[in-house]
Amino acid sequence: MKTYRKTTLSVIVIATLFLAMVPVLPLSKPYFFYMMFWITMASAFNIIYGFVGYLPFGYVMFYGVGTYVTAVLWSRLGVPLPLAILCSGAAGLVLSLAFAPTLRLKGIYFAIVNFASAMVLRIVVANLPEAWAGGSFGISLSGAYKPLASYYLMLALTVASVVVGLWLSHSRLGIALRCIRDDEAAAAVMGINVSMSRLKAWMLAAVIPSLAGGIEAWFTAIVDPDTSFNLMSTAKTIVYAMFGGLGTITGPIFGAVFMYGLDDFIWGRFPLLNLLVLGVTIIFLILFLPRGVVGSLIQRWPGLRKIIE
Amino acid sequence: MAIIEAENLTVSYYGDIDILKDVSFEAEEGRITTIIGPNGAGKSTLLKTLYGLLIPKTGTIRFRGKSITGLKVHRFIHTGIAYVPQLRSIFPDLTVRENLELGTWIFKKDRKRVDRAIDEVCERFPILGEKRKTRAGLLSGGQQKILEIGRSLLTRPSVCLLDEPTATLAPRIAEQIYRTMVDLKSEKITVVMVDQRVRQAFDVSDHLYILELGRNKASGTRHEFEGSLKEMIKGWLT
Repeated sequence: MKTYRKTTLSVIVIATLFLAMVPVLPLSKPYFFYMMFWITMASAFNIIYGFVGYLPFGYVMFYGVGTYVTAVLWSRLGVPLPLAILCSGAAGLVLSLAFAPTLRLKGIYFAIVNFASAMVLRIVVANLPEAWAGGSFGISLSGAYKPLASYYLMLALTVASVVVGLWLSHSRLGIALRCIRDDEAAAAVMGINVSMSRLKAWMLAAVIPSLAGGIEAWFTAIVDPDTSFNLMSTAKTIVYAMFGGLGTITGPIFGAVFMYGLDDFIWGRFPLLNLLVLGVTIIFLILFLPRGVVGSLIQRWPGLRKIIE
Repeated sequence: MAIIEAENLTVSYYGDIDILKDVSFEAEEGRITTIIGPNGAGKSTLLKTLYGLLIPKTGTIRFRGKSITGLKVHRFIHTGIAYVPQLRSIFPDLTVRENLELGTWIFKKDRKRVDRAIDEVCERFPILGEKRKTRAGLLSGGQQKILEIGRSLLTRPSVCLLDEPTATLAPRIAEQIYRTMVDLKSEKITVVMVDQRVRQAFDVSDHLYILELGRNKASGTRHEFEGSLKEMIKGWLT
């Protein structure tokens, strides 16, 4: 086994053991739940932006639809929660297929269309009949409130999304995606099916946040359109993933852990400065660390590639 | 016999601005066919259309008698047609060897076949073997072009489409590229190229097509053009 594989796997095992112990230790469960949530979001986002080079500015819509599908299925139809969460994942897949034609767009056009789609979805969900989607008040899932079970489910999803990233980075699909990102025409000339590879990555990047949305709805036991389709969630996902380093596996994890910690720290002490810090971080990131922390380290010392990936 | 032929192609990038107007073309098997013409004549467009990068509004393209009009770009390599674009198409951050491995994409995980194909190409172009561990972006322009041509030969195509293979290259390297084409011809590989170096291209070609403003202006064997070429291209230079 390659050295980087060994280090990554041992870090994953240690981190998983620690996170699994959190509920029995005197630590804040919601803090670590959301840390895992952001690792999951940032890692999934990395698939579509880091590997494919597409920036879905309305990425929150997958998460939002995930929260609503779980909430509606459980509260209105009595579907058991684990099943409802699986349906959230399926809904994410359907949504990604519905938006598959937008993959023909490139760069900023794709980002804008995706951004607008997320806003449209928010309005649609908020205006669905109240008996179904709860209108602007949302839906309460307090009857199903099981923080421990949902915590562990999130842990499983987080581990799964990191493992998917690891698999992808060395799979044929991952190689194809990076080729396409760097030179689409050259990739096609060599026989790589550009649109199919892109679609696979897009579906993968959609199903993970949808599942995360379902689990998060269970954990907080409340769903409302403003939170579910909050554009800040997209912004945070992008910043966390970028801070660590897109296109690497450890980058988005490191970015999510560090930035979420910082965010939480500032939010607790200087609530008004929270957004300011996020904004300033973005500016400094773009100016000084466009490849993120892990990406810049690897660029500075390419030998590091042997131990981190 | 024509291995690749196009009939009455009309192609546009946008709306009704046709870049190719009713262009017909054919390349004989195992020969070198060169498309020449002044800037903006549609030479590269014709090559791109033959390779499925542009879909013609009207007209058909046939390969060994079967229609390949509208075939998806990534399927072409399976049919035995290779294409080397005009602009740089190597992956600069990958090594020479990795670039070559990508060229064997359609072999999937058949390591033996991959290694054999790469060894063959490195034998043809020893520089690629010597530089296998070098980042492709650090190669000279000529070496990069050789890498691109080498990569396109990995799958042993029967037709090779080359879009201005010698543009921006030093004369001596251009010379090597022309020699390579003659070698390919001796191996019964059909070469179709677009070229700006009319004189040198003329010397290695069997057939020539002259395009002007998106239309066929003339075509024929080198022999037929022997005396009239100078007269024909005089207008482009003034």
